[in-house]
Amino acid sequence: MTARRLGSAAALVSLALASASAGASGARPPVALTASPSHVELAGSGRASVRVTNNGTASVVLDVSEAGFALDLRGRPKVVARSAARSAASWLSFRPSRLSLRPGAAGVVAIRSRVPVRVEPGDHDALALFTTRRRAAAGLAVRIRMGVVVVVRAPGEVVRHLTASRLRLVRRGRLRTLELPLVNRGNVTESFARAKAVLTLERGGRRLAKLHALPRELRPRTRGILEFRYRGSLRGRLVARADVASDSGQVVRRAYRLRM
Amino acid sequence: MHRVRLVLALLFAGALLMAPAARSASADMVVSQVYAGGGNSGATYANDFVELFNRGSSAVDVSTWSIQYASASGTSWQVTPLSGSVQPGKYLLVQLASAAAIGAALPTPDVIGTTNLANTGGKVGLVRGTTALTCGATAGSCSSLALVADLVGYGSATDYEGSGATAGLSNTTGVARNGGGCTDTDVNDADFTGGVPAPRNSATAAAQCSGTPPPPSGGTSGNAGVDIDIQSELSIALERQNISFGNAMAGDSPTAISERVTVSNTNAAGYALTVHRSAFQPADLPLGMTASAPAGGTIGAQLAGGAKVAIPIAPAADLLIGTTAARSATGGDAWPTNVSFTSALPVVPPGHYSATITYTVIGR
Repeated sequence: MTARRLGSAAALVSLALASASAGASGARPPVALTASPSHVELAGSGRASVRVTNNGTASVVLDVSEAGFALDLRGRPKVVARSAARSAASWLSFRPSRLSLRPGAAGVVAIRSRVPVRVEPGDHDALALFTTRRRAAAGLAVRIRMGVVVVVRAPGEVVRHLTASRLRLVRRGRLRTLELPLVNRGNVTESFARAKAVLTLERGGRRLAKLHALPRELRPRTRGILEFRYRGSLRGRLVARADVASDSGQVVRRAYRLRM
Repeated sequence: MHRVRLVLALLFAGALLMAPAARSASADMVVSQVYAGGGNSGATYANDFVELFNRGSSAVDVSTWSIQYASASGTSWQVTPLSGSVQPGKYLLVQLASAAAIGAALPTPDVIGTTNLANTGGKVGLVRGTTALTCGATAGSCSSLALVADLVGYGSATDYEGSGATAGLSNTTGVARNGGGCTDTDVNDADFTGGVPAPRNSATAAAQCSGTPPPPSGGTSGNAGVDIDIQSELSIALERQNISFGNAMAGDSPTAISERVTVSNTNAAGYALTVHRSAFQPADLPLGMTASAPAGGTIGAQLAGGAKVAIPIAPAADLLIGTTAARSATGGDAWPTNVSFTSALPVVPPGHYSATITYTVIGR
């Protein structure tokens, strides 16, 4: 028993040393991958390529696969089923579907989309997943997976339609966040840059604060929340004026009465 | 008096004759190339296409614009909506119908439509809107409308800019705007030349139209355009690719092991970092982790405050470690995570237990 405990301690010490070594500044990590570009857009049936580079010290084998893609209410990307609404996952194919990369080597994966007939016009999306294979001898193996967003725009009329509903205040400790729910009723993705999504807090016609939203995208036919974070000390009744413009020029202008 | 009446009559007639020369307000965006033989016998390309060009000095948002086509004498227009914006000196390629799989594939189109252009004659309008035009029966009827940014009548077209339509097309020839797309005198038959089609898309190097400045006196100078497209990059690096807790027994709580994950996205929208695992074999063990966020990152709600959270087993939804909403700092964002167990090790048969943890990063 004592011998086993000592063995365990020795293993932990050796791990700690290994960790420090790996963490030393300038040391290359064992596994490091870069994909470029990180976002691919295809106009209908077409092709694009993604370059993957192994910047680590170990050789890697990568599997390339497709998956569904979605944004949650706050715009955080996530992997979903390939059959999700407006998913383009089943339209994608990759060549090659497996890459072996030595340290410092790079490979190119061709992504091809085949848009079926009678599909709804506008944006459909999916993820191209690049996943390292588990090392055979590992106990608790750690692997990485990179998701490159692929947006396929199906031919047809582009519809842009954005609506906003009621502004609400959410408190988390000292941070107050004003949340503006939006609905993208169009068929293409709308993007909101920080500079073009503004919420002005006023009282008696006097401007008291100007807040910018966290940037995000809103996929077609989905709901989402624009978050305006406020760390100031304003209290009481206010008027909040939202002036939000997407990159495509869709504008939402509304005023709300609010108690901070 | 009769002479005065005669002069007035001649002036009126002259004005009528001049009417067809009415020009579209084709400021910056123009139609720069048209090809209608796509997929026909012996075709150069498999699809018809219309190429647009921004000959101005600022970007033009065409997301609410359209390309419209009507037959040579028709007034019924087919609409292809456009999308995006066109930078100065850049092209936008609109792929249209194909008769058959004959001819080369076009370069990657920026917009795809289904309109079938006729070789013998037709009218192509670049319109600030997506409502179908109703003009085009007579010369000048469309090109005089403010919402028509540019109009090209070719072959036997009844409407065109200036004094006449440009040449008809064939399966192997199209018409291209002179000067690489820069020439626009609002006279179709002077501004376009027939020839072998050479489609250009948004990836084609920019071609600036501004005049070359004169060389300084006593010397010569030359200008060279410089053009480069920087691609976005998404990177992820691990501190280690295997984690070993060494030897342990039921009831032990092995010390947590660090796994620092470094992520970088050059895209200004940031990324999300998540984790999941497979079940331990031959029996599962309660693996968990703690994590904290780097500067500029937001820790996932479950991991906030240093909470130790079970790592979900696929296909359950991933555990969100954190997100960013901005371009990563130089060197990337280092996310410290510590892998351990959420409770003391249960009583399980002795042996070697293995599983796989997967860290996932998705660019926003």
